Amino acid sequence: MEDSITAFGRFLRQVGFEIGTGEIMNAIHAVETVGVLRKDDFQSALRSTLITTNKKIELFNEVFELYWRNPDRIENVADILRKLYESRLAQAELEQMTQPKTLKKMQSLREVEGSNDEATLDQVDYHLLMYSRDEVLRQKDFSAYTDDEIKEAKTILDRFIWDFGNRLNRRMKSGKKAHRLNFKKTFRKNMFPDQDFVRLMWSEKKTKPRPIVMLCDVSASMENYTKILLHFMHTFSGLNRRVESFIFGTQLTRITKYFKDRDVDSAIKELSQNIKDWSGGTRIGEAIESFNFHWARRVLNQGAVVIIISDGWDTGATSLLSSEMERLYKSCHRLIWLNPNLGFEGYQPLTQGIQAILPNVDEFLPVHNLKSLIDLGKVLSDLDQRGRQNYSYKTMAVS
Amino acid sequence: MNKKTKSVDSIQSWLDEHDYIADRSLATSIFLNLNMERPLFLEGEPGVGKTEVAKVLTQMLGTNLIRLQCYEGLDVHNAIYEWNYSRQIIEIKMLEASGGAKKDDISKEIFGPDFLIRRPLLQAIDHQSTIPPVLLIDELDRADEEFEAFLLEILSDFQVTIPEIGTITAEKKPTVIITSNRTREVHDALKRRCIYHWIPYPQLQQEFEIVRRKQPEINASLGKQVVAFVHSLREMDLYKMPGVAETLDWSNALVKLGTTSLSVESAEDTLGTLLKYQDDIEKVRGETVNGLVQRAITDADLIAAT
Repeated sequence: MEDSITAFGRFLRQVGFEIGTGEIMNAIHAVETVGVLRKDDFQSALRSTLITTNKKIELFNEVFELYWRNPDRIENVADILRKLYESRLAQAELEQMTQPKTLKKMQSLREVEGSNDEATLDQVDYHLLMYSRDEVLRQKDFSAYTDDEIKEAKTILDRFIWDFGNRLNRRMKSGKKAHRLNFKKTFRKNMFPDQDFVRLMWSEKKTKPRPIVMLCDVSASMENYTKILLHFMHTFSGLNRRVESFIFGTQLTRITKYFKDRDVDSAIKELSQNIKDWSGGTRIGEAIESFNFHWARRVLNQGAVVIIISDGWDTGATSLLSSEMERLYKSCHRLIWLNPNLGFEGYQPLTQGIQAILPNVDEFLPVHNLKSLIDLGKVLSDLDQRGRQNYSYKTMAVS
Repeated sequence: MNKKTKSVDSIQSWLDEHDYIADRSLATSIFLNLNMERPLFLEGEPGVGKTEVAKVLTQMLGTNLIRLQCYEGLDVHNAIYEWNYSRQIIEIKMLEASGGAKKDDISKEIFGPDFLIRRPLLQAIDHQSTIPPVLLIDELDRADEEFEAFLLEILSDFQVTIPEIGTITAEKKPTVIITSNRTREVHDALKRRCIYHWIPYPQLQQEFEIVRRKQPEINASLGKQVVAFVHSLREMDLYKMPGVAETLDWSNALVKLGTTSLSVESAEDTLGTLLKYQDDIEKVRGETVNGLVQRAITDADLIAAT
């Protein structure tokens, strides 16, 4: 009995579930407790100890059916997997079931950077760009880059250090300002006082970095910018904060897990192979609606900052875009819209799409060259001071 | 342990006796929770009956419920223990004023059990009852990751160390139930310690049973229409689907209004008990309600009478 459950656990591992020895032992214990008289109880016992999320329940049930149909004649693992594939051809789930990648080489200053000294961080950030040989490179529009220039820009991007947007946490730590009494510490200091007065110790609130959510338009009109923008999105991930990344064209796709790979190039390669929504049409309204419905409640907690990167060329209904942007605006701490078109002189954000979103964003900024990314960094560190709705498209500077 | 916990069948009928309608797989998970002494991790949409499980188990086992409501920033002081500092300071001042007791005596005095405020987790570990209590850790997804890490430690050993007193270990482990609304992913490390169970929305027949038990005044045919209506609502593209709690609220509202059969008017007037977002109400009002009511009246026949 133990052997067959162990074999089943190992089989699940091959299919792609993450099952450790501990889980197999729990499963064995559970089956011993419940008994094997009824198949459904047996299945429930295995499920409640081997599976920890409802997304995998359906797949588990299918695998269970295939595996335990005829325990005397355990079919070839390959046969079972083939049957699974055949029955679930179009399922995105299976894509999640591939073996976890081994860690590629670590890279960039960011990993090594553990310094808490804010002053030096700032200096390193901007110094790096002052030492950049090519001022022209910084000003040049991404869509006009040669391949070499793209490489160079990527190296610079890798060294960006994003340090911004901390928010107050409810947890307390000891501090110096007279904000709130730290009873515990006060007491300890004054337990056996040699003076007559009590020395008060204080607590202050800890700060914690805000989560970031990025949604990037990868449709045809954004084609020239996509390569660099994806690279830029990757630089955000891997910091000490939660970052969720999505792309959209005709539909919304979550790409956070690809960016967990610290090697940017392989992350993007993996991403392009698995996602097929490139350079097609754009349905921004639908994408935001999809985000609001499926993801907003899960990733916008703890005061998240949402960054949308798109030129606003939309083939969907404007009323949908308007209402969904309104909902998104009300659910997050700050909503920032980055538009590469703002880099063009004479560009007026007059399309219906843009008009629909403008009342529902806090910042409306260009993202067409490296300099605009540097400026973005400055805006991000000042977010709280800047307040909401801090833009006016009439007075926006084009750089 | 009680004879009644000896099999999944007996658990299921025991739950039924206490008016909690559970499907067999939930009964199995509860069975494992009680017999393997592992926490039960219940996940599901809001309003499907997760917290109810803890309340029912408490009644069934004849013990008391200790509830820890989670929120962001929940920490040791609010979850395990805290010293009653103000009282301790006063005690010291009083002892000094009444003629200076020795330092050691004061220490022993003020770090005694009278000055310790015991919060839910410590109460659950340090219980003195013969039947261990049910510890409900509600809405764990609202607490932060630091709290999860520290809960993990407690749930492994069921012991707490208070530096001034010593280590307190649970003589009999409490029955632990953890719930989550899945607004964020709870860390795997914690879930793997537990018996995991996802509670889905109930089936048509099951939900009707629940309504009959919890709302006995409702007449059978209205009850069926109510359940059928809610099921159709759940197929729609709403921002927030109504849970079982909402079905029961709605039944209650209709009964209080003296409704005997579902009509467009009664449904529209009481939409607020089912739907809590204005966008959803707008979507359903008008034409849609009409269609839903018609459908509910016919679908009601699919439900068997009990």
